[in-house]
Amino acid sequence: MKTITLADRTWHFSHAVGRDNINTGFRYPCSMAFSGDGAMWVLSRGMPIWPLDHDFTVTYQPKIGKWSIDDGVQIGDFARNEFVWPTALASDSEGYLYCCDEQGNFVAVFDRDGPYYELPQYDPAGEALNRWGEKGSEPGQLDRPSGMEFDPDDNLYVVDSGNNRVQKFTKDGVYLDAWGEHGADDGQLDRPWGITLDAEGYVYVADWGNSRVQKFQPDGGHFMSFGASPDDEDPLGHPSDVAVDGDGDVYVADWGNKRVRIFEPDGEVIGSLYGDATEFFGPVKRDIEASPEYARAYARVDDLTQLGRFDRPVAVEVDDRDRLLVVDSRRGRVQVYDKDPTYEDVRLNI
Amino acid sequence: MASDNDLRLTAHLMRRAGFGVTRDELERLAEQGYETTVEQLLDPESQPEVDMYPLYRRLPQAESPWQVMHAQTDWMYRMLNTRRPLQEKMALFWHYVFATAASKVEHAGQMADQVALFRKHGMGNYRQLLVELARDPAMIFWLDNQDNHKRAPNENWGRELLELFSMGVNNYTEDDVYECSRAFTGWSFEPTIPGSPWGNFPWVFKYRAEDHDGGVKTFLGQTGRLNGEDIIDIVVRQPACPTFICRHLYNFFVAEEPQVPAWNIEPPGDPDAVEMLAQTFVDSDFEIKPVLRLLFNSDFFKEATFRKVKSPTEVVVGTLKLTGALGKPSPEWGTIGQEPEKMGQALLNPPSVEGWHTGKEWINSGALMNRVNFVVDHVRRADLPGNQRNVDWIVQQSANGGSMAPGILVDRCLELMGPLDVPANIRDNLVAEAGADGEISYRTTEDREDLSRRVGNVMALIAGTREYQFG
Repeated sequence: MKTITLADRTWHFSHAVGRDNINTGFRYPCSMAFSGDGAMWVLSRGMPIWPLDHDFTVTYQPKIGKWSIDDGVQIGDFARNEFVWPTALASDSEGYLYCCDEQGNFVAVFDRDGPYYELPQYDPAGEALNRWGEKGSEPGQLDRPSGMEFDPDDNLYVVDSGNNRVQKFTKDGVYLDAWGEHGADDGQLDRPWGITLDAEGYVYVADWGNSRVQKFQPDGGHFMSFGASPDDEDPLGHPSDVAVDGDGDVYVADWGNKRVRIFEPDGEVIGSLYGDATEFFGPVKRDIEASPEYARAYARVDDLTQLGRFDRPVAVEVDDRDRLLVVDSRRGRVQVYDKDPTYEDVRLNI
Repeated sequence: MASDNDLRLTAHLMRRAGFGVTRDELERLAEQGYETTVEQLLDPESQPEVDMYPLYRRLPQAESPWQVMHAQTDWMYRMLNTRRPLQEKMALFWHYVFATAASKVEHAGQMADQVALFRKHGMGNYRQLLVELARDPAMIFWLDNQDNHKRAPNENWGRELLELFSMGVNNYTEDDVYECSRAFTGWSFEPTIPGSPWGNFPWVFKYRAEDHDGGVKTFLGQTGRLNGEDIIDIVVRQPACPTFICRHLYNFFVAEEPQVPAWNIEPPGDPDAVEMLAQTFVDSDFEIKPVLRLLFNSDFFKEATFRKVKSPTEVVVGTLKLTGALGKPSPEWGTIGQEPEKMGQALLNPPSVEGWHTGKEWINSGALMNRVNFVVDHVRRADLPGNQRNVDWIVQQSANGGSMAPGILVDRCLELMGPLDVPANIRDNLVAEAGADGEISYRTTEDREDLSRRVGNVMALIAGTREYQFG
């Protein structure tokens, strides 16, 4: 177990879940949400596959998978045929799962318990309980929804990326409020992506095009910005998501720089995580051990550090145990870190 | 305001040295002058690099891809969006010359890295380019140089270096091939991390000194303990080398030459032009930019309009530029790289180390149908922003009280798609089609919609002409 101490805080790398596999893992995962029962939903964006039909129809095979976090067991997949380019997941207080599609410009609602199907099965009639949203730039309309988060009252904040704004809806899709416009000044946004809320209701938005995070008051007033050059000597590069833990520390998926940047609540930099999954996920480990060819190949590698690094970390979440979960997009896995409030580095006076 | 001749010449330059331009861009470039535009093309660093992040945000598999279709997407996106068109066109040129195929390499990321190598060095020094190529893991694997051992030389790379990458046949002996191969023993590569289960990690060049034959070799009359770089130094100074490379440049940018295997028996179509380019190549110590500068400013280039059959890649990218398609994120980004393949040019997958047979061999009944259909499918889509701009431009040019004659509409469409000249009988047919539904008006919204439809129909017919297949 690797331990990382930064500015008097300590994280232990715990383990990784998943593999790059459309059947038995994730395929370009892009978002996740917690189910409240020790499991997580992970949204796989999929990828265009070789068209098999005459008209070269593009299919991406996205899906939502449910996995236990601790032991990495795959519980099941669903929603395979519901999207083109899904972008984000969020779970309401009743456990219903919401997923938005930046191509279809809608939000779809699913039952937390499936039904689950194995590839290539799906329900051709659709599995969503409800769908709402339409393309446009009027209040309540959407243009490339890219991030979502619920507040404690079950209102849904949607990052309306193409319109460079955040919109607030009831969970049934009734428009409530919006703020933001295109630009680089405080309160303006450039193709924003992920979003989160802290315990006090402040809203954090990954301002992707401006390479910064903006923190808004619950009513949408600009509160502060951080992570951008020249204030930060090692600035963010196109951040994609943000999360806040129980201490108020802010985790940013620094997508362009392939790291997770950590900030204090006031925006001071704590440091960065770069990914530590050098140990294989269980089923992968078994596969490699079962193949003499793979086993020999890996035996020749002196340093697996590169294998453990994030490759386009795209989403970050903090669970109710203050664990940090990083969706490691191009490696098809989720890396899990435990924050340890009691850890003290042993220093021997010799 | 630029003259019609300036516009035609600049359009010719941008088709050949790039992938075409929009009408707005064409007018701007023609206004600034031909030679200024050439200098701008020759200085790619003066323009920003293409922003790949919008693509990678939507299609993460296009970055360091592990399937060739995603590497094709990456390259097509660059061709479409680059502000350094000649740099990208030269990358394509070297891909033709140093043809390497993913069908054998089976590492799409490594293929993309090879193209990046061409992008980086393709307008620089040819000797340096050859050295980089010899160290390129995709090329090493493609031509088996990892199996070229001190005690068992493999001649694949050594032979193609001489035959297809620098001089052509009849300029060396079988002994030279063997000695060349000996000099490149030990030039190998290794993967950093095994390719499974998380896709392919990069390969890196590895010089295995213990596997290198350090003995004395005699190559093209020179004797010594020659290594690979010594071989390249000798090769580039052979008289055949600059002629061979400049004939490639002439064939790619100016006018069709016979297919490469015939070059030892067929003289160049314009030997004086090739010789002039070759002399500049030698005089500049094998720098490529001076040769390109001479080429694009030469009369033989300026007079060579519409003498080359467009390659499938040029058809696809040119059409996307004309119609403004795929300017915004679209799931079609994911497969656009495959479109040239339907017309006979699978990017990153040429049929052999000899590359594609070009010119008229791009055209057969199936490929022609796909070429025309691709253009038709795009020019008839009223929702595409480029098509809307084209209609706006046609209206702006007409300014005749809200209506225009069918002949005017046809001539404007020909300007947008070339500017293109077609025989009178073809033009008559186009005019008949344009006027088939009565008066062409643009007074009301409905009129504009009808005009847009007619413009699409006329452009679709132009796409089917013989003339449009040339660029």
